[in-house]
Amino acid sequence: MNITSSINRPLLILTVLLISSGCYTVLNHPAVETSTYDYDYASCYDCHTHAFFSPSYARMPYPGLWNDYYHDPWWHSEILITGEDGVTFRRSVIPGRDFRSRDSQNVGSQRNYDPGTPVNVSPGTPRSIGKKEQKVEVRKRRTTRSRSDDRNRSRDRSSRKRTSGKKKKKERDRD
Amino acid sequence: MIYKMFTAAVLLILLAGTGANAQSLGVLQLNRMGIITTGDAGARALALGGAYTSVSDDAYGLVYNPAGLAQIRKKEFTLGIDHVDNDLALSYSGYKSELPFSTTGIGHVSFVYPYPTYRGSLVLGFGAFRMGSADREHFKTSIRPDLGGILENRLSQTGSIYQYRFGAGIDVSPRASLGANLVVWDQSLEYTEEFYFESTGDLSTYTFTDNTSADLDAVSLEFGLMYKVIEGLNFGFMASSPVWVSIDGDAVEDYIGNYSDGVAWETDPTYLLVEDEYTLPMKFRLGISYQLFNFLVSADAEYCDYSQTKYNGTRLFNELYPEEDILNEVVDLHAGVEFTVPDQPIKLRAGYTYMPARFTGFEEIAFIEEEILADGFEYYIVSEWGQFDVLQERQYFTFGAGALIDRVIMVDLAVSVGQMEAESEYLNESEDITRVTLSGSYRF
Repeated sequence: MNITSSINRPLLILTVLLISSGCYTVLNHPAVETSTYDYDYASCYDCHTHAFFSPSYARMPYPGLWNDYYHDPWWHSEILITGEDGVTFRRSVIPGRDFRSRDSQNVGSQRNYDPGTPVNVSPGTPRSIGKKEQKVEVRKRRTTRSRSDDRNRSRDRSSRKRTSGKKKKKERDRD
Repeated sequence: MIYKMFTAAVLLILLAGTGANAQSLGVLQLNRMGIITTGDAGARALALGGAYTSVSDDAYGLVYNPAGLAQIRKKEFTLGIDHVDNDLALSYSGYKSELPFSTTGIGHVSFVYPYPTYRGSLVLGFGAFRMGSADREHFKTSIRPDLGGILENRLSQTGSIYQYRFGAGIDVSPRASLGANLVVWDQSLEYTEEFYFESTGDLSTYTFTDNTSADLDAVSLEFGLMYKVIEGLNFGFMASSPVWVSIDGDAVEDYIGNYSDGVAWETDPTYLLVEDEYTLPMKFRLGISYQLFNFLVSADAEYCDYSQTKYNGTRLFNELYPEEDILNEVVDLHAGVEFTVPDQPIKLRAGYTYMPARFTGFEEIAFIEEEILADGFEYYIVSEWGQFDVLQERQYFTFGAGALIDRVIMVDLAVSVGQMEAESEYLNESEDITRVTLSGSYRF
């Protein structure tokens, strides 16, 4: 069977559309062509007060223990740490990481932050933008018959019909 | 049943097949391969009873809902080990037999990569998952006066079902994610089946042995949706395409015996090809979960009308009673709860799974029957099929725990205890299954 030919073309088209439909997810930062744009920005937080994620993702009840495992993106050089009041955030740099280093000529870790400096940030509106040689090949199959046997009862019987054979006495074969 | 001495040479007859001929073997083969009773993957998902469609916030989204992959923020490598104890008890006409066996092996390996994004999420993943098994051993015996002797059936079969899953999840809004999986199935099936008959009249014996080796290849697609209704309340949906299955293999059959005078006889080995195709129907899976304080509660329902299963292009049906379905329309139910221990990196879990019988019957026993031809003889494997009553639908109770080590390694353990029992007029089959899964995930 040609499996690939069995897959409906509409399903393939739908798959491609779904995977490529990143209308919300942004992989590359849109170009900013304003005279005031400064490439010396260190992170998205400089332009976007709540840059990355919807608060609905924060489902862990104990972020202190689980947040790092579930929530913080591996590619972020700095993270927002929730304050005890649950409203304010503090920016903290993760040592050893370069934010968007693959595109660092535009946006990079060019500023040094004090990890301990609390900054109040309001989450909300942005500020800007097989095996053997086969002698005979017979396809396996079954046939079905129904009959009553000697015990006077009806059984459901189906049989895998086989090829004929010959019985040979072993003593005779040895001769 | 006719058993007679026969030593004349006969020509090998190539049998012409018909659609009806194929049906019984198709049903039996489908039953034994285990591809419509694939299970869970990963200790956390297993401990939650498989209620994971609306959770899927780790690599197991590759199995339960690819849209859930979009929740992952770190690269993740996972590895799992499975151990299964299976106690299969058969009682045919009062003659009981039990052949417990166990298997241990790698359950899964997977890797997930979140692509760096400025907004939203795009996560790619790949994993190899052992999703089921055709491992089975059974022995049936009975005195059959109607056949004039003693029957014995033995089966020894192995064959793990692996799925290679390529998946992606992407955020399409702050609260909605979509995902897709390409699933490539693979199974190597090996079995030896032996039918023995001993005549109580003249003490002649007949032994038929079938050694079969077959490879299963299949492909399917899955599409997922994850929607965060409100804070903590998730809705998940996954639709699976039909599974296009192709089976290729070969078999060799031997037929030997002893005449009543003690002289042994044998036939030439018969070589056969296995070339079959199945199309398994679509599945739909719906899940909901709610994170309330320290508790995560989740539930899933999966629907599939297995009666739509096709074998070599024809819908599988009961040959003797074509008006009856031989496969059922089923809804599987899954439920689970997870408790996060306050101020401790530990989670405790429990779950329940309910999986109604896919088949309406099973093979009670099989034997050889011969028919004399003008120039030889033909022999058949006669399979007696019985419609069964389900005394205990397949269900599992699951338990587990997970611990976070140094914020980057998650170790999960799950234990699943399940059973089923079905009975036809002559055969009672019960199965107790205990599965232990250990998973480790490393996020970096």
